Amino acid sequence: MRYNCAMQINRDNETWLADLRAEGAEKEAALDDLHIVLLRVLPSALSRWLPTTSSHFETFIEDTAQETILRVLDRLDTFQGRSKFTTWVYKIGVNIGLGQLRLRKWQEVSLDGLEEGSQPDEMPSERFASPNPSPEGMLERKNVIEMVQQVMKEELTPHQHKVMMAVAVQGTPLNVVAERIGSNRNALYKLIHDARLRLKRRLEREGLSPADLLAVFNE
Amino acid sequence: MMIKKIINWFMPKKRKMDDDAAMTVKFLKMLEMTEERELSCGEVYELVDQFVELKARGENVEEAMPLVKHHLDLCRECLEEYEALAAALVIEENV
Repeated sequence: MRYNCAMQINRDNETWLADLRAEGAEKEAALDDLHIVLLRVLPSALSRWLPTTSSHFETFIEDTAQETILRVLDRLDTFQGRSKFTTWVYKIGVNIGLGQLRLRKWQEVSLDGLEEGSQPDEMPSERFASPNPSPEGMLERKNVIEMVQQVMKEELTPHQHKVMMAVAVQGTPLNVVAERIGSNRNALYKLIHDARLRLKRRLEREGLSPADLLAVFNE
Repeated sequence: MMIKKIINWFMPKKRKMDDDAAMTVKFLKMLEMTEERELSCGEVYELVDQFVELKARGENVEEAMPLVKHHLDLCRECLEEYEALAAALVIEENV
């Protein structure tokens, strides 16, 4: 079930899979259609992260589309049909495109520099902390800050601390940190999750909850 | 914003205190959201196409796929990829 016109390509999931697994003209047509739908969707979907006015934009979109097609072909057997085939393809495309943009953006930044010298990434907490606390409030905040820093020092390994600071505080993307330290995004997420659990359990043992401590910054 | 930067320039101690406070609040907010069972980025990647279609159909994704929603609330990269994917579906819908 498919039909083509100048601006529309409609195939159901089974047709996409069958044509991409075929040989010859059917496969060529399916690959062309895949290229068309990617070039139709990726520019707008990714324009928030790379302005369309950038001199690299067109090349970036074409490269992303080509790499997406290769990965789609490579992983065709893993498509389980839980979504539309094109949604699955777009998922692969935005993962590749945003991954590339993050690596480019952060390629000059050292993780050690991030850990030691930089200011925290922009975060909702800046709106959360009230700007002009009373002198007593200031003291209370100072005590909480010192206590949290002490708990982190005692509970986290130097490696966990470094990764937490880079990812959670400075906003360095997981795949950028992963590439620098020879790890992967899943392993880093698990490392940070383990670190968060350790810190939360330690606070619980001290009879404290994050919500109670956050209240100090909201007064 | 410019005035704040000038004040920070002349008051490095205050700037450090503000940065430390912002960092502490950020950590505490993450700890507040931390659960024993969380999905990894890879697990969310496998499910996010299904999640985005449910959301586009107006279904309650927090109820249907709470662990994916929770991960997106904590992980900036996965959230960005979800947002780009959601934008892609809107574009496809309007072609």
